Amino acid sequence: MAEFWNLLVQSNTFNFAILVIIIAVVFAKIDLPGIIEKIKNDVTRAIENAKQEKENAEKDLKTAQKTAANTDNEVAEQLKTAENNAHNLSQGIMKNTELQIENIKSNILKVINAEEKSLSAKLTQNTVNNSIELAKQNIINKLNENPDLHNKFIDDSINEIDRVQL
Amino acid sequence: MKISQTSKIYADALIQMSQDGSMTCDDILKDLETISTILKSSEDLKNVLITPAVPIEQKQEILTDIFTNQINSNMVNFLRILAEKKRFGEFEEITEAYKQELDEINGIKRILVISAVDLSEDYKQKIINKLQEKLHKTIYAAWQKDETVIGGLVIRIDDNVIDTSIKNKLENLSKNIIKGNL
Repeated sequence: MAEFWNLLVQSNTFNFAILVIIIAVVFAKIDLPGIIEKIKNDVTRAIENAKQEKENAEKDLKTAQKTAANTDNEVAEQLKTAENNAHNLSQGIMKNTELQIENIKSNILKVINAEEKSLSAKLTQNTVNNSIELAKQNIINKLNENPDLHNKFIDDSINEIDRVQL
Repeated sequence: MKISQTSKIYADALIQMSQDGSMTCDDILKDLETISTILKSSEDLKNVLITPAVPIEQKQEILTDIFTNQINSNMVNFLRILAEKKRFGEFEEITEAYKQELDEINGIKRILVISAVDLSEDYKQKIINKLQEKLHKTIYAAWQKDETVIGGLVIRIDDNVIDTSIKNKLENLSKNIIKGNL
């Protein structure tokens, strides 16, 4: 018996039969079609999703490309505006500076004129003061030499009383 | 001397006193000068009468003690009133205002004449006559010598000054030349 049994087990045919039996049992136990169907559906869904995502990505790309194109235009526009503003500003600054220079020049001239007048007045004042001082000394000397001259001045003063309003 | 309105009011009160017949103008003036002399001789007395730290009653007592035998009792009362009204510090102004009022009433004008040299009596009289003619008042003149006026006269009448001196003429000439040149 043992020999028979060993022979049987070692026989390929027998092994194959056992295998088939096992597979049949397993298939009977599990819902293989269902599983395969499920897998098939999952794959199909995955493919569909992938397709959708591809479409979305393409759409986004197109939008991004459009935006990029606009951005270029906007940047160009803004550069142009900035250039214009800079130009206008520099013009304004130039004009202001010119005006300021004119003002400064005019003020300097005024100061020079005023200084000239002041200097002239000082010189005149000094000249006049010196002349008056000389005249005063002259009169004092004359009065010292001739005291009777005082009487003339006193007479003049008394006569001037008539002309004064009191 | 600048005289306040309040001093003039007190001076008027003294004039009123003379017009009431209580005292003559001259007696009042004499008493004012006596008071002034006493006050000038003692700075301490003057300070005591002016300081607010001393009570009024004490000041009045002091005034009565010092002046009763020196001046008329009406004048003592006048001083007591000044102390009461805290106007004793204005005594000199009041005296000056009184003198001016008195001069006004008597048709008197006081002047100061400044000259570079001493004036002869002739000239003094000429000046007085000229001013009496002009002002229609009796002129009382004070005479002062000041060489800086160089020549001519400077006459002060109250707040008015008639400056016909050589010094003034030269100064005016200087100003006119400068003005003309600018």
